[in-house]
Amino acid sequence: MATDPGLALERLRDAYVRTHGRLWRSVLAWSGSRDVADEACAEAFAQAARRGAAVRDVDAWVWRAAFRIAAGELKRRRGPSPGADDPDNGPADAVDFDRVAGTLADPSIDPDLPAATMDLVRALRTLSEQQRACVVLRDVAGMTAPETAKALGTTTGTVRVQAMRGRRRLRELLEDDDA
Amino acid sequence: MPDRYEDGIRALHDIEPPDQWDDIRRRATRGLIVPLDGDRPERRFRWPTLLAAAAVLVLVVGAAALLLRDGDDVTTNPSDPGLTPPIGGPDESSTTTQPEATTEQPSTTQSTTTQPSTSVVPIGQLPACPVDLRLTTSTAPAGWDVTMTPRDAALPADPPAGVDDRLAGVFEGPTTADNVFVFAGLPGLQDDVFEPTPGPLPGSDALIAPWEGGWYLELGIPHPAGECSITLQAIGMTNDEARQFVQGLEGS
Repeated sequence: MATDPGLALERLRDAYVRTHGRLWRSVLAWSGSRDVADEACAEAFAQAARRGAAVRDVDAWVWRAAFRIAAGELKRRRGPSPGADDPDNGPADAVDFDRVAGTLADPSIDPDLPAATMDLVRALRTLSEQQRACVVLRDVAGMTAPETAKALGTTTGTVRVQAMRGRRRLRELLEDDDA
Repeated sequence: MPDRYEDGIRALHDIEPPDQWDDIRRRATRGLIVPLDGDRPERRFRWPTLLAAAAVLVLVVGAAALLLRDGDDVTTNPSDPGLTPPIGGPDESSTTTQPEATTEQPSTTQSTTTQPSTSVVPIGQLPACPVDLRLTTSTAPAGWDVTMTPRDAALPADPPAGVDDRLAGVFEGPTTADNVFVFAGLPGLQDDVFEPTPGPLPGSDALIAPWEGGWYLELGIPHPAGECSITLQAIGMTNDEARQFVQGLEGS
């Protein structure tokens, strides 16, 4: 494992420019908290830097790490609960959203978020884990279906179906809320 | 009418992320590290537990499969001709033609009864049976064959690995990219993404769901030996055409 922080940071800078904004917003949508998004994104990039050349695909690694850190952070804030407690569990090549299901029961949502975003975050929390992941990665992160499938360790067909179902459900929830 | 979902997405995109680069540099050089991806030392102690759990799972699944198979033997009527033995689950050897939706909520409740049904029967409970299919011309979308090309004729002499054993044949469309693949024996799916649409079997709707590049359909079809369930993967049709297509299917 390479540990030259300087070299690793240089290598990481490009990935940061490419992906940080999308990643931060995705974690924000996922968690509902700016603080969690801040912590998860900064720590994920820092961890990647520490690992240096051992991280071959920086972008993919940072996405996985950020969501795992976010899950852990939500769990820490909420207190002990079954599941979602160990960011080291699960397949190393996929974001295991199912495993962090329990973390999203935390009712707290950043009160400073715009009203439309707060409504969206609340609605997102009612979706299944896979649907939420598909919607966030597709519509917030702007990933393609194959990219989303790779991140989630599933197939593009599943991503398309789940994203469609998730959007439909969100629209129903938000329209009902509006009525 | 405002779309509050799109509004929420737009509002999210309007939020400016903080510039965290300096914070990242500080964290990286300070050596703050959170164990990720399996580099925590105590992880190795979990392997025996995980292996034991996996072994138990295999035993449970195996026992369940044996019990289900025993149940099949009891309820199947061997005197009924023309029906293949029921297939209880997805073929693990198939890799390319299994629809993605089956990874989510596949039903394992396929019935094994071979008695013809005259009442409303869920498609997933109809016995699958490979048959020759044809399409009545009045329902055929323009340019599509009205008879199914059987599997043996549709596949090359040396078919590539991964072709699903349950592929029964293909309806060919106007171009080589347009095809309806017919499968017999895929498990009936139970998923609310499927929408009912009139099918060829009176009293039983077909089910349609979007699929990569087309439509995934499950339907019961009339068959001389009793209604059976067929799965279609339709590529190159509109939704309306796919719905129209299934209404005109007949088995022989």
